[in-house]
Amino acid sequence: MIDASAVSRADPLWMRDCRAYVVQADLDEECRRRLAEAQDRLAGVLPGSVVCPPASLHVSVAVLLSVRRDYPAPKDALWAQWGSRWCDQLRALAEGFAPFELRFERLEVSEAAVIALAGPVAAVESLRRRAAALQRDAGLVAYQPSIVHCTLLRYGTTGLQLDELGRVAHATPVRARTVVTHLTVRRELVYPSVVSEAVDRFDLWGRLPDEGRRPPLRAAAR
Amino acid sequence: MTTVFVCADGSPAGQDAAAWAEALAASTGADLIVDEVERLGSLASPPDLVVVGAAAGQWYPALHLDQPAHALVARAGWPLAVVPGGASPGVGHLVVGVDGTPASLDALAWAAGLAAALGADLTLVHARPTRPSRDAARDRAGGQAEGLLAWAAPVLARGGRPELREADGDPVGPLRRAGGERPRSVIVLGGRPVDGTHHHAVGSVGLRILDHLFVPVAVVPPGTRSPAPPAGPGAGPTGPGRVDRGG
Repeated sequence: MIDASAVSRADPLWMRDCRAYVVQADLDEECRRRLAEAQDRLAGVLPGSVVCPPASLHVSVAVLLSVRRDYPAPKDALWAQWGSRWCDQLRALAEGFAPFELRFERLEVSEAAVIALAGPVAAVESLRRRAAALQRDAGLVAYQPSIVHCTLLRYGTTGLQLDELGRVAHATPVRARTVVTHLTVRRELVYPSVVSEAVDRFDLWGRLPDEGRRPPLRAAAR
Repeated sequence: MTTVFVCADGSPAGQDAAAWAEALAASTGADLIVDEVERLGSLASPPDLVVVGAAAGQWYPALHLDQPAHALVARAGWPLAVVPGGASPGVGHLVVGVDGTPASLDALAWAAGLAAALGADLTLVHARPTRPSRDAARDRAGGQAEGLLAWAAPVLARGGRPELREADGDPVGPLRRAGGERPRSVIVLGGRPVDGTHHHAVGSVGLRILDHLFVPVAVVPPGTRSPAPPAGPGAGPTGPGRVDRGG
């Protein structure tokens, strides 16, 4: 649980134009509905918090170009240089994984956000390791998240007392789950994924026999 | 205004949006087209206003531009009104965010034309930025009050009597307050050109207002002409047409 003296830190990116390239797991409607219930409860506790629009809720499986980091070149230029290669490599890995389940089991409050935390997933860890290696190969500093989570709230104001929010979050059951059958590579245009565009898609076919494999779908837009 | 297009999706929010659009079309004498959003691209001439319903947690403010329907409304060059569920039909008050940019002045001209056509009230809201910006020098040169008056001059010259409001800082709060003060309000904002820099027309102020939508919000692309009265036989407030094309 968060320290009783913790205070919020306003998010400078909230609802602003941004740029990032991220491999995301989309959540199904029921999962989003359950997480939205938790959002409503938490937002009622802390006026000044800002709620991630339910239609934008997602899990960042692997970060390719981070929204919060600066790079030696513009992100779109880096994407033009490396994106196709990265997607090919990650697709080859992802298509070997079977669909997996994300179970959100508890809420955590930090000075930056409230998140729904899911248990670890082997496929996610493998994809992050590969993504980090690809970043290093491109001469970039490797950065990947260390947990599997969905961000529910951030803060519009610095200095909000978070102790009561922490208590309510601790007492709020989540019980949200979703089965991930594909991953989407998104270009994030407005933070936090409020406006985004899919640039590629990896279907999780699992280790099916060759005769059972369907041809992979190519990206709708690149 | 000659044509209002309503995106029909069968949802309760979509039905509320259709009722709002029907009232607007009846008041202005515009034709009303009710159809699936994907049909927008195949219209012979662009509509003067596209109306969509906003169900909380569904479309707005989240936009997935790879989905054709989202891309059509977020990137196209027509005015877009997003109507929250339960909105009262009709337009009695237009609230325009103005900052002196060409986009905001185009939105002002559009709103003023609609207000004049409807006999609706018009409020201009300008929020002075607290941080220096490229606009600061221009603002300092003329003074804010003078700037707002200058921006409103074309409206005043046509006999309009808009209310002028100024505030400091973030424009979202003042726009929301103005939109909540009178019944049947609509908040009007200038859109952004969709180009290599901006992939969608709705800026951050618009997205934040759409995030807690309680009155209809209209986003007007740069270069949009002021709504013109309908012309030809059968036109006018007593003779609007309606075309239901499924959905």
